Amino acid sequence: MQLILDAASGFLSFQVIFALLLGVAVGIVGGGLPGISPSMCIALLLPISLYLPTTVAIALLMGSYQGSMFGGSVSAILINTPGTASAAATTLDGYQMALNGKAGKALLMALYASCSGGIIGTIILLAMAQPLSSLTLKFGPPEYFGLMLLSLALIAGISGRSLLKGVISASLGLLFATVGMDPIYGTKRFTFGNINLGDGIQTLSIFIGLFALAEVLSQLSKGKRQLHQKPDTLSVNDKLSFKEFWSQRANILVSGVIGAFIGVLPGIGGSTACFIAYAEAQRRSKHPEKFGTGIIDGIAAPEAANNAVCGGALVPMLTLGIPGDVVTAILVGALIAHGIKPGPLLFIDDIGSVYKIYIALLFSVFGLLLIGRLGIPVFSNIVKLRKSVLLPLIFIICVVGTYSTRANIFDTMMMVGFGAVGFVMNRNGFPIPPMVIAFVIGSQLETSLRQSLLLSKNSPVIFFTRPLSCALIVIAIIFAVFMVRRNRRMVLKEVKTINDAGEEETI
Amino acid sequence: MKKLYSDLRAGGILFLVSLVMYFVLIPAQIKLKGNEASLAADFFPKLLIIIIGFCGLLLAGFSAYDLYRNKERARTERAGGAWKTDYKAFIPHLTFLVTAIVYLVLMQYLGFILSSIPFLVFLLWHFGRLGFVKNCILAILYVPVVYYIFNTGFRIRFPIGPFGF
Repeated sequence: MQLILDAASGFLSFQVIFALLLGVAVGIVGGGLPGISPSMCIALLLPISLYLPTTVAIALLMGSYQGSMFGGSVSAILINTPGTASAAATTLDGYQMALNGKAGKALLMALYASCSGGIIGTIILLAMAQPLSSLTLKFGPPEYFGLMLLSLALIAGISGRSLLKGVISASLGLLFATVGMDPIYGTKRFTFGNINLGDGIQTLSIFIGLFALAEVLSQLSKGKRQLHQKPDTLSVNDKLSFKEFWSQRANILVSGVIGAFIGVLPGIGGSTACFIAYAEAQRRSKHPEKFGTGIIDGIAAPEAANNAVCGGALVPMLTLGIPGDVVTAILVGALIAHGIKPGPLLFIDDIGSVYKIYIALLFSVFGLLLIGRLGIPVFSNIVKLRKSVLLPLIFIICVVGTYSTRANIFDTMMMVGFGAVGFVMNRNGFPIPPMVIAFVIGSQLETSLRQSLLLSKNSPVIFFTRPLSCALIVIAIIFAVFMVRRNRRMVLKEVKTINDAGEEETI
Repeated sequence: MKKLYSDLRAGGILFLVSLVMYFVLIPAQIKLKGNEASLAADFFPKLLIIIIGFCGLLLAGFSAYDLYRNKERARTERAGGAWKTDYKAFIPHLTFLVTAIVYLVLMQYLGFILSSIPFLVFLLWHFGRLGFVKNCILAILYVPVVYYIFNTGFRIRFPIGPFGF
């Protein structure tokens, strides 16, 4: 109890509250601008957080995480363009409400549902993290290897349409993680005689390059005319009554629980959660036919779900040290930079930091409520910013962000290189998330694999003689086979559709 | 169909690159110390490169098989130029990347402010249609603000130019 109070008291300083509110505001703006994802937003805040005390940095990043999840709904409602993938389902009813002159009501519903979802996610995190961490303390290297293999299989399979491309992407991420010193013998690998690569590739160069710069390059493909367009937004003057909000309590609760549990599963993330919550709300509704025509039920469900994902996604990150999505992968990097190593031992060695994270997540919900309530008119104007102005300004921040870690131009050059790699991968349909997550867990995965094999005198049988590691590997294989079959069916269906279309054209 | 061509090409390239990495890059870049009892430092990279090469081969193989199954349509589309990539579409990206590298090199000699202002003016022109004067005003206002925040607030030592900033 004393530890919880100590952690909570750390959040009562002006510096921490300011960082939290700033994080929320930056997150809402970042999430609200189409083309700037939550991962990009947090990757850009990461270098700043490295210069702040741990509690302040955690407050900044958690605030930004919650803020960006809500921010996506601002542009989804006002300009029919979801700022983030998680807000895609919000466009269905949100924009319709805006067209009906109820944009303000839609935004307030999204805000209150997001805050409620954030609280549900935090409760689920509190309930699940501690028991799971006690269980994972019994894990040895083979179990860890099995678990990481399963996570990678899930992420590689789900984040793209092709499992093969997902596996290639994850393998490339693992390969990039091998640059630098070998974790067992200290042998230099792929350093090309360059002293800057001795410690491996800087995490920030990868994060900012693959998310921020690759996105800037992708946006460049749209052409000057489209980038320079200023979107039209609608008036946000109408209000939401308490009665209207209260009528959504069951919808918000169910959607929040769905979102939090989906967040726990690696690789699935907010976009799936919000569509599942939307479908469930429609199924449970007394008037399902009205969904899509502009009703608050269709906003409350996805918004509660996508903010609840935040708490859920922190469960595997904190207890196992395995990020379930790209945002938590970046958070792992940030926590490690601050000397906090996520994993089961964190709950024994540094429980104070765990409480700080819980409290930051909870406080960020209140920060979101405050900033969102006061800032809706401001944020609705910011979504009108031209990308032609915004993207060059972001690139300068990318440069400063990567340079700031070690005051080294080489890291910035690497960021540009990874930006190009991310762009090429995007163009060819290779998913980026498996690569980033694999890069983050790469060193731990290699260590677990080699430690296990050293224990068994190079016999891979060790993975199958221990029940838990065997079960995890078998599940990973079954999942991979299932994904391969699904992928083949999809490709054949696509080819058939193209052929049929071609025949019709010929006729 | 274009996706199948692109997958065929990507798979082939990945397979060839993994061959080069396995036989040339790993022996050249991972010098074993000789005291590794087993599972030396090159074990994991070799394993990954085998996986990448194998997956690349599968990707190319599946795409080639799908193209073979639809050979008539593939032949027609190939004649129509589906195999080709429009490299001209990538000129803006290449220009951006080349100028970014030049900017980063120049930053070491000219300092952050002196190199960033003209680069930002160029980027604003490259991305959109604001006028030259507006671009200059925005760059002159924005770059010093960023410099001030990071230099004073976070004590980051930026490269120093001939004028001391």
